[in-house]
Amino acid sequence: MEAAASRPLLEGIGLVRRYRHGPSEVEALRGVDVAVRRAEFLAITGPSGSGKSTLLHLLSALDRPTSGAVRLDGVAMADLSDREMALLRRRRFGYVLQFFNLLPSLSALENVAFPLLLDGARDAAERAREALGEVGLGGRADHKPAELSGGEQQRVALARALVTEPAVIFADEPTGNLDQSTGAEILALLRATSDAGHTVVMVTHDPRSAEYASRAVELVDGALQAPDRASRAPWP
Amino acid sequence: MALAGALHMARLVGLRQLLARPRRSLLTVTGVAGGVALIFATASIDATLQASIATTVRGVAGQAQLEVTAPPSAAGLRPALVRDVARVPGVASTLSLRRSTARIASSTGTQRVLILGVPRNLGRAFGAGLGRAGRQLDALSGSELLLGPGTLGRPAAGTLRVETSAGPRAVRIAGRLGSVPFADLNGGAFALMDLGAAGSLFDRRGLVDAVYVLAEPGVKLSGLRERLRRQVAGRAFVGRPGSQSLPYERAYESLSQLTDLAVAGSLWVALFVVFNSMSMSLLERRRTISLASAIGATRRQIAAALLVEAALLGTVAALVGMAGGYLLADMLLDRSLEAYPLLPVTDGGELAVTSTAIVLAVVSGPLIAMLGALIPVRQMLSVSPREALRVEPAYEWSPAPGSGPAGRGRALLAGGGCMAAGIAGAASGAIVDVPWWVGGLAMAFVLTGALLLLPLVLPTLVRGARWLLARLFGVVGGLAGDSLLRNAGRTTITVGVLAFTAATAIGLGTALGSFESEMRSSFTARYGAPLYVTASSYSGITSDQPMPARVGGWLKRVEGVEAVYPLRYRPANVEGEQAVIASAPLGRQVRDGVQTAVDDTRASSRRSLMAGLGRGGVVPSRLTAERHDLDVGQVVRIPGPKGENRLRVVGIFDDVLSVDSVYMERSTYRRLSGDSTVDHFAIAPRSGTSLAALAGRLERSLAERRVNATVQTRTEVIDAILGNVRGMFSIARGLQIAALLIAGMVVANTMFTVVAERRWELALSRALGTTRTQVGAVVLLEALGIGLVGGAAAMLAGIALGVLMLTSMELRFSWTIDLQLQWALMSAVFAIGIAGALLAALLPAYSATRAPLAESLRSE
Repeated sequence: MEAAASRPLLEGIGLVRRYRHGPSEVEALRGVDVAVRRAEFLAITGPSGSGKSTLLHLLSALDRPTSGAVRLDGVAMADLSDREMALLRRRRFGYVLQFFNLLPSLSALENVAFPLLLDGARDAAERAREALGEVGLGGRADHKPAELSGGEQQRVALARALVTEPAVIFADEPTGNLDQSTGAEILALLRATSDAGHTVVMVTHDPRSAEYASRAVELVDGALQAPDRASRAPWP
Repeated sequence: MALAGALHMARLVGLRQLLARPRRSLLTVTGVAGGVALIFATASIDATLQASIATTVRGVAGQAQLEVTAPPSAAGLRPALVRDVARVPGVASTLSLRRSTARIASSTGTQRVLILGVPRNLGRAFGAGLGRAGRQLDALSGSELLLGPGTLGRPAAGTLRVETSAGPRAVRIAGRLGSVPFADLNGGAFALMDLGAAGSLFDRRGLVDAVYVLAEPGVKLSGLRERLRRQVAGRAFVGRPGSQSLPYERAYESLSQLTDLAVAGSLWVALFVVFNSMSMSLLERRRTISLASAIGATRRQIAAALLVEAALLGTVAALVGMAGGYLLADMLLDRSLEAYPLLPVTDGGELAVTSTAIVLAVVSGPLIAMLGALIPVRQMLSVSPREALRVEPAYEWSPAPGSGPAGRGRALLAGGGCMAAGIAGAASGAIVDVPWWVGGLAMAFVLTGALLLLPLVLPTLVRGARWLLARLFGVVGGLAGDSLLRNAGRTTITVGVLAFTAATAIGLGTALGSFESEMRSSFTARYGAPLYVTASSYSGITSDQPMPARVGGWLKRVEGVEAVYPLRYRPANVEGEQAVIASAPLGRQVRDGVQTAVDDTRASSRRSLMAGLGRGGVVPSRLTAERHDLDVGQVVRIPGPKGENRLRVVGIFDDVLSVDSVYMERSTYRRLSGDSTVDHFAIAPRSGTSLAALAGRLERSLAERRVNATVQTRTEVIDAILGNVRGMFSIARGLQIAALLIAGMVVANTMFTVVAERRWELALSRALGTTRTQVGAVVLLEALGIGLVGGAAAMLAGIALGVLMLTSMELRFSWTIDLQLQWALMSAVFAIGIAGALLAALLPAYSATRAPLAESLRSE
């Protein structure tokens, strides 16, 4: 039991990702090992073009590595079909992205309920309303994204990420499009989410944002600068 | 659960989009509704006319169990035969009938109606009698008409003029017929008169067209029928009333094949409109779809959502199309009848909407929409969820699947294969005998191949357009060309729609133009004399009221006339099928050096052909020969008043009718049918005679003798016949124009999208110093590029399509048609394509010049 609790929830082993752009090939990740524990708030930092977002995409089942493996709860994602990956994203992961990425024609409530509706959940509206309340937007449920401020849109995105009670929440530059004070509010919400027991993986280029995390790793030119501290813990 | 999720996805992502983009949704609905309207209209017109034919041929039989009918080639049933029928054991009573079609005129208008000469005791055929109508019939005296419910409208009193072979005759109106069971006869456009009076009016004394037989109670019908057949001994048909409608229905079906080409073309256009619209819509929503995928929507759910969207568009289009189709059919019903004078009806009556037409419309709308959306939806399924996370618009960020070398290779293989199969299929018809449907299948293969090859071919043409625009219009032209190249997918789709619709217009025009040219050649050969005297009621195939033979003698005595040749065309039954018999004094014409239709005939020799014709042989068309497996030396059966005639085939000629046709000597025709009337007299003038002066003398002679005929030149005769053909093709030509209009809407839609997408970029160029005029010019030149490329592609594809359509027509009807390129049409379509594209881009260009500068410079 103790061993299971100490085993990483999510881990990447020897991750390599190459892209072909016309005649040339770019290696965005060069053999990265990373592990994320339950209820951890991990920040992945590094300069622009370091491969941070690429690493996030691989860990969050948005992409597949050229080589290497990603495991969630010990299950290798490479063994999953495209359909299973989609279900994984729907039920076990949540996303908070830099440009909010809300569906523009849906209201805030419908955006939050969207992953539940994909599952045909009958209580989708009720749960979505609850999630919106948790981020302080209970009164804006019927507003479209265009009627919300940047900070409000990001809260809606966070509510959508939380509504399915995911195993991991992935945030890709969640404050990149917000002013400083609004960004701080969002980071505080993410921290509170982590404190409540959710696992959060955040990509950021801003060292100040990384301070909200419980742990940080740095990527430069597709490789971790120092070995991941968490990976130093002995496996059971 | 998965289904519920898919439906939610459809509601939130698919259906919201329809409301968010009303213009695009309207465009798609319009395109599909056009195709559905045509399907509904043709199905309704077909059902109405076939029901009308069946009702009209059944006539006023009432409860009569059997009908004895004169063969169509015969002048009618003689009194002796009628007496023979009445004497057959088991016959309780008989009722004779005369049928004539004539134009009637009153103060309120003219109309072509069916006039039935009936006995006063017609009520006996109706168990309960005819009530008021029966009393009206009893009260008829002399030459009086009782008008049917759909005849002329008001008035129902006074006199009207009836066109007869002896000129217009005044006939009194006895009133409008009371309620009768046969009120739908000829769509209600009929009149009843006394049997004897009808015979006098139409110069057919003693002859009747049908005899209804009422059997004695308890008599076995099969036995009675056999006895009647033995009694008439081949001089007439014996069967249930209305059983003779089948050949007419078949004739109608074969004639309507020609308009099916136009319907098929419109369905292709509808498919392509949906393809374009969905492609544009999905390209715009690429990011939304990738976001849905990132959040956890499966491919199945995405596909279901988008196909439900297409199906809903198609369903709305089906409802709109049915309404439009009803109006179209109502408008075209009478026009269709004018185009098919071979049929025994002159009025279709009320439009009959059948359940078949409704089902076809309801099913075809969503089906066309979903088929058109298949490829765009399939392309969207491979959108990566990562695309949702990119900053820039994801239009072309990740290359569409299949756009790499492997994908291009597959497209080339598949497209090339389809084209090759289609061309091979079409070419095979020229070498070996193939079923008629091979032509249509070949066309389908070629169109599919063209669709697959389009994305490979068009980029090259677009690069050419870019070069041309930059050369002609400098940096502004270059910017426009760059925009075309940058969004290759969108450009290909828009250009493709324009090219396809324009190619359909060119193809259809080429096929119909070549056909019309061939018809003109064929009729030019048939009508070799410089002048003709034509019965006024001549409709292009036959005359309601042909001229008596004695008119020829009068014409021969007119100064300047060298020779007169009587020509007669009559619907007939050949080997059990509806056909046209064409008769002329062919031997005399050939001896006198006058061109005839059988000049270009396949026979063992010219001498044997003329000798054979003189001995009573016949020359069927190639279509007739192939349908009935006839060749030179074989025998063809044609019933006549004296029984079945077996006539030897002495040659086979090329005709351009879509029904069977047979040529024979006039003497043979007269012997066969007992009919000596004439549709045209061909006039050979004496050498040195002025044609204009001769025409004047002929007209005076006709007027003096009160002959209901006109004098026409050869060109006028041919133009009048072709006028009917053009009437039929006007439906197809109307569709071409509609298709081009829809293409224009598609271009407009694209240009609006272009402007919206490049708002920031155009604002930046203005901030850097570009004038509003230059900004507008960039948009217009991009549209010009689309028009140029689309037009060029359409010219090539249109010619190929025209060849395929011609091949299909040739295979279907055993015709030989030389391809005639319609340069004027092609130039017009090319110019319309460019003008249309420019026109469509005017409003978007204006919108681009008016966008507020500062606002537009803010990031999206």
